[in-house]
Amino acid sequence: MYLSEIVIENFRQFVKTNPAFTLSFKPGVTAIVGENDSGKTAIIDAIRYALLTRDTDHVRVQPDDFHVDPSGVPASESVIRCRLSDLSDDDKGAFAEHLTYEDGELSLYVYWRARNLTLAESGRRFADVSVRSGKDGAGANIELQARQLLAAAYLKPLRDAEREMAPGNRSRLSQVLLRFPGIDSGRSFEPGAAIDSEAASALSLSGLAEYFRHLVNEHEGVQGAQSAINERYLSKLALGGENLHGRVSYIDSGSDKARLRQILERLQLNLLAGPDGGSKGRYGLGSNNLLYMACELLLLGTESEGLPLLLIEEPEAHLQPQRQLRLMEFLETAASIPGSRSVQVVLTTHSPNLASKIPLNNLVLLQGQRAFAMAEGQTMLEKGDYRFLQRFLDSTRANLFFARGLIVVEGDAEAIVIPALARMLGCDLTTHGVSILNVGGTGLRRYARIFQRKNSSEAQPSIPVACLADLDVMPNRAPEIFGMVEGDSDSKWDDLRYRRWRARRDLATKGVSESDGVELRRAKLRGGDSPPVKTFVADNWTLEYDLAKSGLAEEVYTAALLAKNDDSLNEERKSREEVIAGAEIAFKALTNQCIDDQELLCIHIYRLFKVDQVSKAVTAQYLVEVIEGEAERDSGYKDALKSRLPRYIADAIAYVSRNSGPSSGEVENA
Amino acid sequence: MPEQTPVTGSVSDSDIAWVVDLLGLDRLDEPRRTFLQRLDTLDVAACPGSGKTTLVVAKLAILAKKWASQTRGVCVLSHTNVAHEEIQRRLSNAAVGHDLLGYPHYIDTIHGFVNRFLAVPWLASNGYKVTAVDNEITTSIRRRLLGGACSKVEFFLSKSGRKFESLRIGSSDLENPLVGADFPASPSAPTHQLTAAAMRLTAAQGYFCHDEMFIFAEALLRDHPEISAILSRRFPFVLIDEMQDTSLRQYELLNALFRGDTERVTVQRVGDSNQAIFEDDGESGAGVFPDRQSTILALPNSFRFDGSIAALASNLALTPVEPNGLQGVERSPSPPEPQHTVFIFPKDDVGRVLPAYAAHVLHCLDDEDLAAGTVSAIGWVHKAKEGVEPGHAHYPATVSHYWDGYRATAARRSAPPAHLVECFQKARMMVVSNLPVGEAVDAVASGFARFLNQAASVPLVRLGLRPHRSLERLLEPHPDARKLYREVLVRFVLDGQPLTEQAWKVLLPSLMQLGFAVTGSPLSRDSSAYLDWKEYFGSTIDAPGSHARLNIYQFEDSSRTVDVHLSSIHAVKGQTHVATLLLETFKHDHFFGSIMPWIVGDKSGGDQKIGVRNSERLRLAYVAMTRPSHLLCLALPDSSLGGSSERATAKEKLVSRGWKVVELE
Repeated sequence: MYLSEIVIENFRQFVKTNPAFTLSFKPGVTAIVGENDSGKTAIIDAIRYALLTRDTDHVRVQPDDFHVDPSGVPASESVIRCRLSDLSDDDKGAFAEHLTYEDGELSLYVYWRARNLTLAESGRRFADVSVRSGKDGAGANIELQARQLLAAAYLKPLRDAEREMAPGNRSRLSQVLLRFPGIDSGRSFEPGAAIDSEAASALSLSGLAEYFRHLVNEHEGVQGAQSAINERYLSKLALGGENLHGRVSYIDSGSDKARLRQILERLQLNLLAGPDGGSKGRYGLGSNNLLYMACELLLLGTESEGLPLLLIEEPEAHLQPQRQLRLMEFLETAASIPGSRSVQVVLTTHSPNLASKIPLNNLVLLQGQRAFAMAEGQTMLEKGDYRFLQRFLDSTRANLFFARGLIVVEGDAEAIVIPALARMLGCDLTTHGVSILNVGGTGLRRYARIFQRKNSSEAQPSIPVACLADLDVMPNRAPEIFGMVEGDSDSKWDDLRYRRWRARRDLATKGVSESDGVELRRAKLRGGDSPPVKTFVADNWTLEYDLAKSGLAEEVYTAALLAKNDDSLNEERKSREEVIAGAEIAFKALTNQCIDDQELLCIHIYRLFKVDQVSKAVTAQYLVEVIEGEAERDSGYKDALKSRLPRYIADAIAYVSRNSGPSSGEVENA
Repeated sequence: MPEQTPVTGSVSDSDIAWVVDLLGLDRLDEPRRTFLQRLDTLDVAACPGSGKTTLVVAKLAILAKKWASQTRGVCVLSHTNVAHEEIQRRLSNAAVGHDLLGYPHYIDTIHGFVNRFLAVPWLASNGYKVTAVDNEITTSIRRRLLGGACSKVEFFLSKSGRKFESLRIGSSDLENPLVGADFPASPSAPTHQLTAAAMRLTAAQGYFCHDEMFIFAEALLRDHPEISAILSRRFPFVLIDEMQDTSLRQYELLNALFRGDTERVTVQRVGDSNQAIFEDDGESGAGVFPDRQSTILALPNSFRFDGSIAALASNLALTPVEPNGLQGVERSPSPPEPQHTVFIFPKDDVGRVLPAYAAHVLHCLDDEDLAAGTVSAIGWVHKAKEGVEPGHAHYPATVSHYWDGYRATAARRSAPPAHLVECFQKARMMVVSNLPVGEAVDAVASGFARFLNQAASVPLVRLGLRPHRSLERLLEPHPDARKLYREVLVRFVLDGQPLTEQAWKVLLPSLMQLGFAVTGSPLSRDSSAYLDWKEYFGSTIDAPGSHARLNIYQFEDSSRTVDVHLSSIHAVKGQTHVATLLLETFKHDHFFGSIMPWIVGDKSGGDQKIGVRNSERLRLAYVAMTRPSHLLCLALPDSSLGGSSERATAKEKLVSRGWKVVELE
């Protein structure tokens, strides 16, 4: 049995929608990721309310659990519905009266409903909670004992693991150990039987307790005190004929079970340096948390009844990144430890580090009141994409799960230039929560497909994703300038198959003009678009060429020359001013060479990258400096820049920042 | 996962000793001991007074002590609410028994079980909620939905002798509820379509009749046969009490569920087919239980009475009590002469029957005996019969012929009164008659509930097991209304202020106010008619020395009095009386007149050849004659003994069987 689905209506930030907020789970690990206030905690709490938890913490509905609409009116009713699937024969029997029969499948629905009584005048309680079975809650009331079989183990964030592992009344450790197989093995103590050391070690824990009680009672000090009380005082205080007799004895705990529990409550769990090592004293919270999780997993895995579900909120809270990764690896295998049941784990995180470690298949992205499972079949990702992303979705790229907008770019140059250009346009990507995802050459589409849903009729994530793509088609004059062909009639022009570059004229085919061919290519690059993914294709060729062509020719040229001299600059063999001054002269000369021929000018600028192998990434860094320097020097520069940027870049920035800017609206109470 | 055994070990002698001590049992004979010990499938034939409920509780206590599973449970089913509540009450007295009262165990009626585990899941899975399972409410909603067309439908049904309130959903296809139903019109007829629509809408609102739930239960079993395996897994131990009272339908459903072929499941069924009597006609499972010939355990020893009563009743057992007939093991001092008496009276003069019986009771039993229980006079038929007077061939035909103070409607298990004021009168009667006050309070509460439901035109209160509690909950937001309700309850039921027509008139405006306050709407015609004044028996309840106490005939000799409680046989099922008089009545034929050969000892038991009616008479006679602990009497007219030539022989036979024969001239 595992939790396969939760539906939430009017609970916390989840408003009642149609269709209702639904989150599907798979067996094994499910990680819920999403930005702050996206509802991660609300989902965990919803599961806790509906299914209960094993800890002794009492869950009680709070007035602010009811969703409050924009006009400030709280909902009159909250509903949480959990579906449990893949029921074993034991589960079916245990919940026989609560089963729902759906086309060939048997499920157990837990339908939790809280009515808001604060709206009514009367009543001391503020919520009336009912828990029934059935898809619409039309089944029977589920008794507490039955619900407790479903109770999940819950690890709250910032918990005091040390305290929970400490000995004491009803300690968590004692509860775990009490259910551990074999904990009650051994013989019971027979009063009067001779006990040698061999017999003593054969006793059960409760037998030992009884033996101990027996020894205490027989202890001469205890006996002596007893006879002193009787002989010295009681006998003298008694009235005639009365027979008062006192007895000093160790209290009897009653049943074997109670004795066992008392022993277990005195146990504590400490971390040792190794099997033979001594206690290392106080460990940090992180280590104690690991210990605590190990303990809960042990219990979940060894029990034979109920729902093996572990809820973990923000496991990153106390664990360093390496430990987080170890934990994720462990939780995945915990799903199938030999000799124990497979444990389902639902965790929330806003750690990109952790998110990058979890297989995409197990991720659920929470965004705009909706849950988007990343599982195969749910997204447009192909099987190969999952393998690809598993390898390349690192912790930096995993930022994409926490973004409000995303620009996917092919290389470092874009990653460096775009944020600066956006800032120039008055749109700070960081404050807009927009992340730049640098795919490093290939896989632009693969990343974008994470956000595209297979089922186009269902809601789409409202995270705008802009893919920036080069057109990668040279102007027709470029190949000759770059020395790749000699003249228009060079036979290399015909070897389409053997060269990797394309010029515009290559796109003209039978019945298709050159310009139509270019548009076809552009359309093909946009072919995979569907909300929320939109591809923005370079207007002409590549980033650098297009920047130059649209009006930043001198800036790009200067930056490229700075990049060309990067080593000399770093080694202080040349000064920056020197290079810039040289660039100014060279650019003038180049302009004179290409009077009224912007294209030719830009081809020559691009020659620096293509022929002189100047680094585009380094150029990008200098370009940002150059532009920012200009803007600082000239107050009108910023405004003028707007009209000098390539269309596709301006459009892309506008598209991703459409989500209303920095987080607006009310501040939710944590 | 290793299979968990729900019961650890077998039932040992020390377990039995433990439970004997816990419940303060005594005298466990061998069959009882065997019953406590056995954990395999078994049918138990328990004779009247065998202390079967105590035994069932003892068995459950042992199981509770040894039970080791949190997800698998014991299922205890009975036929009536009274029986399962009794078992629950007695289990809750012992700490260990308390465990059995909740999940994963289940103690309820067969109806409750069928609803919870089969019908409700089936309905919920098909998108239907269950608001109430109640014949009365459901019928009234169907009527309301039909509106003006209802009288037409009712008239149409009456032409073929059918009643609207007997109309039931015909199949689990709730879109077409009349398919398979007993509705005498073609599906295209307007009456058919209107009625079907009303029933469909009622179902959509979640209202169903009791027996309709079986249709859904059977649908679940048909669509998902695995439910049998699922329930066998959940309940590895099933104990069915009052097995003889299960209907054939229930019997077959239970058999299909707990076949035991999917997994080991123990089914122990306890009952006495000789005591299977029904108020409604209908096929019963009585003829089939017990059907596991190889595994029948008989409990033939009754602790209720001594051998003399056992001997007189034994041959009326339809199925002979194994191994040697019914045994009475209650020790009693042997009286010098037989006391169990047959009163023979002239056919058309019943006047002396009750006085003679009462005088005989006073003669035979001392005050201590009388204080121990009820003295009763019972018969098969108890309702008044119009037109049957002395001289009529059927006379005496009913219990009410023996005493004109008898009111069948005032019996505890009768239909609800048609007016609110009658509920007060009935409740007061109950208090005066020393019946449980709680029942009296509930009688008034259900009257109020009915009134409010009618006034609101929707069921506000469910007329469940605890009307008073339900009503109090409903009235919680209306403190004034609740105050009024509590006040009238105290004044007229508990304190016994006379509820005269004048007092009722004074009360009326506040009652209407209460109805308005709770429902928020003016009273409907039905509900205001429900508030009409109605005279009760034409006599005042609390008049001193009144004979109007609830069907109690009071007899006084020179120094002592005795109360004789009159009722039907059905109403006293399961009870123990000090003395019982079985009266001649008439249904199809005279009761004694038909079974005289058994009464005089010529015949014993019966098979199919004796016919359905005599089988039923024998079971009724057996139930009646096994009620008393001390004294058993019969009252029959001379005509029932046969023609005048046969009467002398019959009397001789009665005497030789151990009866004392008294002729009332």
